[in-house]
Amino acid sequence: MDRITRRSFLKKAACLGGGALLSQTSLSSLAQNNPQGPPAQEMKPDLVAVKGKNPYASTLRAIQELGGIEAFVRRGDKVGLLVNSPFKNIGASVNPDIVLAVISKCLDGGAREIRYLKDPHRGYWERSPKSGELANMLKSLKYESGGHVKVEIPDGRALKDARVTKDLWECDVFINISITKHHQGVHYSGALKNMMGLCPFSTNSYFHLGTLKLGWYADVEHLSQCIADLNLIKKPDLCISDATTFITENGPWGPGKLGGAETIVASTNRVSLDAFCCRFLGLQPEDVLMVRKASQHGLGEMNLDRIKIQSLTV
Amino acid sequence: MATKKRNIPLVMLSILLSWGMASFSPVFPQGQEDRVKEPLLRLLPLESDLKGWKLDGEPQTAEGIGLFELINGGAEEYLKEGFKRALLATYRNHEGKLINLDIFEMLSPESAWSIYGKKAGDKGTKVSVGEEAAIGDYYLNFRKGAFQVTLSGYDSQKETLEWLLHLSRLVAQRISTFP
Repeated sequence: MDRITRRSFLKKAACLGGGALLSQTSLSSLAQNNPQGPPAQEMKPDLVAVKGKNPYASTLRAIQELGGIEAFVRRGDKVGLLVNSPFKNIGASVNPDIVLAVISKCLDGGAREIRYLKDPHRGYWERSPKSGELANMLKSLKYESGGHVKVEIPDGRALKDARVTKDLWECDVFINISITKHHQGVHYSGALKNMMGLCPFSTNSYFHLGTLKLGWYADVEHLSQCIADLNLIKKPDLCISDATTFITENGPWGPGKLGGAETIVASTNRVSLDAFCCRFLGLQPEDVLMVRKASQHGLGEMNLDRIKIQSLTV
Repeated sequence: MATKKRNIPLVMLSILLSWGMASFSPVFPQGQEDRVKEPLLRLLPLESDLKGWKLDGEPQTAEGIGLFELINGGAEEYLKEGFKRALLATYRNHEGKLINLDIFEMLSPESAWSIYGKKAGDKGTKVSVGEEAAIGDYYLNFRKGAFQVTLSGYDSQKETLEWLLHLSRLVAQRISTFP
């Protein structure tokens, strides 16, 4: 990929529209007002962070700033959503409003089918005040079919194969929706870790016990490597992370002390997304082993100075 | 509080015991589910004691490694400390407010003490429930005997916290008479 640094981007922006373009607001309004539709490729940020009190609206805006849903979903596509939503405790699962916003945009984009790749906990949708008005939309959702297939991972260093939900291979578009939160084992859970949701216990238990070191989090190096290796199987087309309200302890399940940043983060790159989001928990990208290992696999840029970041408030 | 250094053979034994139990019931046949569910159901407060709060759906249960089916990655800490079985229930009141009640029966009081230490730590405000309890912004943890129990709401309103306390005391009373 042709990398554009923040500095070079700012230079280009300044050339295109003078100092006014340095304003985030100006940049986003330019993207929205582009008469040709989505912003031109060179104008698209690598990562968008939208701060606001309404997660639904912030999610819509984040997608818009990445080029609109048409940049990801074509008419007739089957969309697979991997959402971190198995936990009922507040701050441990993605706010359902965020998922509803994504589903709504996918349907607007002409998606033929939207399938949940990992079922949410019971009562999940009821947590959203919008679930009533969007009930018909929810009825059209499909859930896990239950089957898994073995996938070889030739470039995996610790994980050479994995059993993965077969639904993943039947979707045209793969969207990874994670929540930024604490995790007892790897300290931070986000997009990379969310991929474990695709696997049954038989695969995930190897992540924890594969080296036969005693204890579930006894070998974080192995666990982190397995997570990075698992991410080799398929690149998400779009990654969104919920950094609105999240547990800062007792992860992944909670309950625990809550943090809040009122922010939705979106990117096409999961490594960059996690590198950005781990800072909400007071971590630096290099502190999170799975981020480093995924970066070493060439899955994305963890140096935030080397990507184009757009932050805005709605 | 939780021990900082676990005895490694004990940790391994706990995992093996939990795993061993699961090997009998990776997916519950009806009889086995009842065997897990019925005793733990007796720990749920009577709705007549709850003034408008009712069970929201069927409580869910798990035994041994089957806990992964219920709480996914959250199961790991419990299995590590020596987990036996669990019951997860949600209560709803007439305003639509929800309170989650999660009852974990561990392999021993020591296991319950250890997992309680991890869940509650030295945080929160100590309250008088069971043998040890602490209440946080929207949740409460307590332990009694081989049980570790977590209750959680979705806001920090005084009324919610009072209900967390009330519900937890009712459960603690029932644990006292648990066979």
